[in-house]
Amino acid sequence: MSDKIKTGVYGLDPILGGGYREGTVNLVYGKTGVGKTTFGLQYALYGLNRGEKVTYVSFEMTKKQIVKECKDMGWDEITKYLENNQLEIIHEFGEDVLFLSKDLLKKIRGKDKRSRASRVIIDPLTHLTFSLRSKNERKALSKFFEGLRNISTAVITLEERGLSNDEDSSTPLYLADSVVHLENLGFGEMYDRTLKIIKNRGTNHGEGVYPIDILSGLGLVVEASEDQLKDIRSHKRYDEKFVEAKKEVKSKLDGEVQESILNRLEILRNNWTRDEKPDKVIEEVLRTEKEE
Amino acid sequence: MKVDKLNKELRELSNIPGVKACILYRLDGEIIQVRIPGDKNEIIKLMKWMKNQVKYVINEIKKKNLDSVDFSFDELQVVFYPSSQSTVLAVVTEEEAHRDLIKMEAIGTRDKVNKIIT
Repeated sequence: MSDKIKTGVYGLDPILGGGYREGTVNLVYGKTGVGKTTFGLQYALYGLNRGEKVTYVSFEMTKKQIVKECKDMGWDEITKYLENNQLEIIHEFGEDVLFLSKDLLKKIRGKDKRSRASRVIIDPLTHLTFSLRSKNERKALSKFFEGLRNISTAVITLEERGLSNDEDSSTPLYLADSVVHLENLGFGEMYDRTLKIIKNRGTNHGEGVYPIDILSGLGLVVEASEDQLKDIRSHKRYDEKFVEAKKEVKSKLDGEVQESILNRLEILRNNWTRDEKPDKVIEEVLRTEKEE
Repeated sequence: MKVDKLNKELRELSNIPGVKACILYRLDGEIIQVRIPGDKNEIIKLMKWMKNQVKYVINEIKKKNLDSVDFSFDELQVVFYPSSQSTVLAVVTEEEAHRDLIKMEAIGTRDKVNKIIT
């Protein structure tokens, strides 16, 4: 869990399985006013406060508006980070950017490795996904995401469109490494503002609907019950079962198959969160792998 | 934390003999909290059906000002209790359960849930 990139959103990392994986593109989507920009700013500030470089690409708010937004939340340190160039804000009007160009990636990449940001935020990417009708345009977005992965760990916000709007079909959720969905039903009740993790590739994450608050000074705060957290945390209760299984693998399988299965069992052991014993799963693995 | 309080209320209700599941649904069918004390497989199919009923049930409850809506199956009974403007508590019981007692307890839980989430 320690090698994960912390999101800076209070209460989110434990249910994300520790945070984001390094070199990934992570989407935050939801309708207007659900807290997407706040999410992006929290992600930025968490890194900035720890000496990281951050690039914030804004397709809506100007630099001045972003600074004001931060100050309204009580995050006055934003000014300092802009002055010492730890934070770079690139503002472009989304309406003017018709296609994802290599120029944008170049701007994000910076002049050299030393000036490169470890965290990139794009808020929001919505305009650029409006017209993704052709194969080439979708390919361009896919390449753009790949480029981002090579540069940093990115957070991209995306405006959720109504389900009846066919523009939503171009929402590139499938291209992202993780997707977090923010909602606000508007009844003013505890479960109106919620967060749901749609996916977080390669990570055991929470599958519930979690209530969120947007608090002055803190930003987004996610609440999960002890039981929900227990469902995500791995435990070592059945370690002896895995040790026995590994012994069997070593005695019955050889070469690359042995190595690969030992590795899989180790991953399974490190991620076993269930209350029940892993006997049945282990039995199935051994049975299948021993078959000629 | 509020979510832990909510969890505790549902756990207590699900511990009553005869209760097969307690599920708190949001009006869009999202499961907020769920407690299934016994065999989960038995309930999963029913949960899918319940998810599809939530919107309809909440509408009916509001329109007709109902305290609860009951559905009976061969071996199980499902009762929906409105717990707030945007949530409904579903309680699944087995055929032989002491339904009046469970209903009384469920109404108590529903009121506590309402206090926590509103």
